[in-house]
Amino acid sequence: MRRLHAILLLLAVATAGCGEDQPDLPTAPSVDTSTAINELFEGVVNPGATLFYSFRVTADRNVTLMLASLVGADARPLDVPVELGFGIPQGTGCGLIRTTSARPGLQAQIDYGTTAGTYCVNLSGTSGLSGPATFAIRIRHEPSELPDAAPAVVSFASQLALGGFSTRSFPATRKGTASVTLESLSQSGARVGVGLGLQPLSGAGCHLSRMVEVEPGGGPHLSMPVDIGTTFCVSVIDVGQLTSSASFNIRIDHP
Amino acid sequence: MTRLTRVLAPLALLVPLVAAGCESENPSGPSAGGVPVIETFIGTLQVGSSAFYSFTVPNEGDVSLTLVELGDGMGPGATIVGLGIGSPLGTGCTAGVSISTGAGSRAQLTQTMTPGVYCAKVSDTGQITIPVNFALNISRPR
Repeated sequence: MRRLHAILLLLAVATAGCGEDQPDLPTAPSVDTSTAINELFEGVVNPGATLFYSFRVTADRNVTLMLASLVGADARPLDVPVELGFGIPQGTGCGLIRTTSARPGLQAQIDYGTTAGTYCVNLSGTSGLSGPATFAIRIRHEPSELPDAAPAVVSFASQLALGGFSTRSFPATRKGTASVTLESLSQSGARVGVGLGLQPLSGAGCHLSRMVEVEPGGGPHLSMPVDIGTTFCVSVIDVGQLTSSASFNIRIDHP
Repeated sequence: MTRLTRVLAPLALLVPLVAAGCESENPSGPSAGGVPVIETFIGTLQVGSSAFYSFTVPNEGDVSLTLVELGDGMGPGATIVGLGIGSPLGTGCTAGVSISTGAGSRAQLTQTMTPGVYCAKVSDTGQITIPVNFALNISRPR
């Protein structure tokens, strides 16, 4: 259990954000093939705290906000509702235009058509948290019309080190469902953790949104609705049942 | 301790981290298209830190920042801090223009701004040794 805790802590790579001015936090947007812009607001939120993050939209765009991950002090993904908001920076906070109660997921909880300008995402309603939680919110501005594409299958075959994790990213070119199936594991009878999430800005690890502990066979073992984006990820995690490093094969079906 | 400092001190105890904003008209302030609006940013500047306040400029015109009070107990202009105008970005305020200045009654920084969302930033430049209360007037076009 202690080993799993340590691994999940490693996975939850994040930087803290708070109400004070923190200009050194990573803010660099990335551009994908559909000319959309993705930004990631990562940090740690304390119970009862409100945090906001400002971003620029350079043209008429759909802005989508996705609370992708909320990970508790025990380093496991939380399914706790918080308030996610969209607005314009105002005074010492974010002047809200729209809010919604949101649980972590890989589909945007707020979708708002807007003109060029400076806007903010707001995280509040955190009193239901029992302690500090690591969070990841994806901010995406995209043209209204996006090209369609066929579903895809990715095979992820690799080694899982004893006490370690293996992560692979995958894209989604439209809204749909991503499914993960553990097809094989070289150590029979062992269970491993399989999680879905969003890639951190650092590129290392995975901000987990959900995780299940599974054995090979049957499946899919984990399915989640996902939005359009290039930075989703699957993690395979030793939850303490491996006796040596093991090879595995994962099938990822994504839209 | 000035009269304003005496007024600000209990306020800072009630609102320890940040900040109150209010608006008023200022007939004698910068005017590039009508009577400007003054928003007042009252807060506490932590050692080695900065604080910012976002505001909207609806029409092109002058934005002036006046650091009217710095509760350092040292008298007007004795302590120098950073003062800037910029854009809210990420969890901070990226100051496009900044100066170092002490408190005073005349605007320390004036810039002509196009319509948009901006922020005023107050930062410690290494001179403060304890948290200090401040009051910053932001004059902007209506």
